[in-house]
Amino acid sequence: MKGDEKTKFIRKLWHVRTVRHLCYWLLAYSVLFVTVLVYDRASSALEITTIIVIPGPIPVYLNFIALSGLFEKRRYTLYFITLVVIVAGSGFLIEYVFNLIMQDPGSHISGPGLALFYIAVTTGLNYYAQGLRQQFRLQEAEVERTRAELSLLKAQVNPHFFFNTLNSLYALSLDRSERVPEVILKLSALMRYVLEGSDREETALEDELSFIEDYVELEKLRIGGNPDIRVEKKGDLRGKLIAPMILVPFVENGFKHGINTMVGDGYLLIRLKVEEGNLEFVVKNSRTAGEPDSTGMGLKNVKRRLELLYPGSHDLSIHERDDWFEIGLRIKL
Amino acid sequence: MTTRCMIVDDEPLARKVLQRHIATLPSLELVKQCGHAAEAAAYLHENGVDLIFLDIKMPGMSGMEFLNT
Repeated sequence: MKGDEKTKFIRKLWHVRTVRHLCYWLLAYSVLFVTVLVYDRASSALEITTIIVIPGPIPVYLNFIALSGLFEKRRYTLYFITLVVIVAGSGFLIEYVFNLIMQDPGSHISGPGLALFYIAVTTGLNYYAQGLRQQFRLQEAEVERTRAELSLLKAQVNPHFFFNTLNSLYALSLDRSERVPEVILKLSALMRYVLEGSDREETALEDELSFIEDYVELEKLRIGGNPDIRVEKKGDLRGKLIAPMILVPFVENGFKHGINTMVGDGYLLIRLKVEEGNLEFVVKNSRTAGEPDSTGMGLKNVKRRLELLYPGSHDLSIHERDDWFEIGLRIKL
Repeated sequence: MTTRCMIVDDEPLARKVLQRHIATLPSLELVKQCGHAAEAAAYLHENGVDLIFLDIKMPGMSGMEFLNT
């Protein structure tokens, strides 16, 4: 057998309860043997350990049966009565075997005490192991829950945006505008990014940025007029990864609650900067004073996603005045 | 006799679509296009129209608010 197969085989064997228990007993036996050996000759060490360990499994397994059959079914009184019977009976047996083999009236051991000791140690170990397994299961469940929550929160571009863009396209096509092919390409790039991003954990920062740029272009088309909309980038974006669609909701928000509320020309500034593994992202937009502000709700999902994806390694700040709104996001990439 | 109509919508492309549709109907005559409600209100003070194509979601004054004035 090769090394890999060997470990697999051993692991498989370890899952067999009998094998596992046999190993425990061997371990207990050798510990006892070595302990006695320190004080006495090898032959007597072997003798004593044999006498003590061989009757050991009887009370231990009887107790396990009683535990699962009575204690875990909440029949406590019956369990304790059974326990006393097991301790007394197997204690008597241990003493009987001890005296039979040792045939030395000078030496004496307490059978019931020994039986109780075995039972106490094994019961303790048993429930400790069960507790550990339970804890592992809980942790796994927690990870699973987080994953499920993340896929629920996964940002989708507001379907309205696609509807609006198709309307703009329709208007452009009525005039046989030369911009139509370009707009269709941008729209298809956006849809592809949303589709592919939905089952990916990370994406290139450059892709997220070009999504934002395309998105902005399409929104400009719809809005008309002459708003000051700028996308600025600084630093080296190459090779940097980020959770897909984590920046987009802020841009969407800038349009929905910013530019779209302006009667005259507003401004929307998007700035992305990479410096020493840190991403700095700023969206600042003008808005009409007194607009009902639903930013809290709109950004709630993305806030929760940030908490789950970048725990302790992101910083989101929001500044606002009556006529402008600014978010600043810093992520350690 | 033609129906005098007016478009009030903040999005230029949306206005264009409506304008197209109106142009295909000989019974409609487009007399004014407005980018926002305030402009429309000013026009209506001076002139009368028979029909208004009014967008509801607009910055500043919404279509519903404009209708109430």
